[in-house]
Amino acid sequence: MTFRFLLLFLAFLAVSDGSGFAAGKIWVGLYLAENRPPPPGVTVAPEPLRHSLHEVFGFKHYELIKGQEVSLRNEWEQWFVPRQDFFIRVEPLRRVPGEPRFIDYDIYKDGFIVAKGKYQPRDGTPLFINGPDFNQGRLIFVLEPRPPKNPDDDDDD
Amino acid sequence: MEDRDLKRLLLETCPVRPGQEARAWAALRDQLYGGSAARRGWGWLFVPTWRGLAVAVVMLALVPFAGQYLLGGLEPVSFATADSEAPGIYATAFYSKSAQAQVVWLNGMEPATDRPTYLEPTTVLTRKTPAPRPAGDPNSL
Repeated sequence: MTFRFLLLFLAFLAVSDGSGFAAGKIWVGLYLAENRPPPPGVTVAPEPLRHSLHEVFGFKHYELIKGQEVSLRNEWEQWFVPRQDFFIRVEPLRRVPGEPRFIDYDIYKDGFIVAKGKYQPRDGTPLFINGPDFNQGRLIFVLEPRPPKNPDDDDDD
Repeated sequence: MEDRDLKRLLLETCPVRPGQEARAWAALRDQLYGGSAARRGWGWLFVPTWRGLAVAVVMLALVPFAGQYLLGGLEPVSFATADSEAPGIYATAFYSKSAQAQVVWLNGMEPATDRPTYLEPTTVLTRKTPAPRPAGDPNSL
């Protein structure tokens, strides 16, 4: 009997797509990376995220300028405009059954599209977008999957 | 009745199920050789039994499992793409293993400034505050 359960478990692993993503939202934030300490009272990146950002960009401090959540249920374009000269358009694409979900994004600088692409949200794998320099630092977009608060928020049904 | 007709009649009335001949041969071989030949080494794997089927299912399940979790580290991981849409700006997407993050690197952008952008209204109507009247006589000029 145990052997049969083992077989069922392995078969389940084999047919699962392994994407590891059940989030219903992604969080989009703009950080200002700097080496000088940020002024007191500002929101800085949490330690795990700061460590990851430091591994990629090398700056010591990451100050959150603005952040917002984007629901993946809303399959239409949504704008995140933390600054008037640097913003992003995200659009959760319609999910094809059996395939991972993708998000379409456009990066705008000074009112013009400078880059566009697609992102497949995965738990534990954020997307960092290296932006323009600003003062002695740099602007960085962070897109992070957020797990649903309850199973009803999951759109993987 | 010819042998050919007899065989056709037998096939119609008592069809041989898939694997029946092999199982019959395996049973006969067990009887002849005491089961040692069939069970020696990996010989049982080629006999269509439930045990062989179970092993085949396990192998089919383990191959993608191993491919995903054991050999996955050898393949380039990419969860994002990026294409430049402006001249002089280059976009590169890669996966940072140390940061465990997908990175899109944009090169060639002008630095951001705090200057007004095109989104700022060019003609701003500022609310004029009335000039403070001199104290004393309100009608004095």
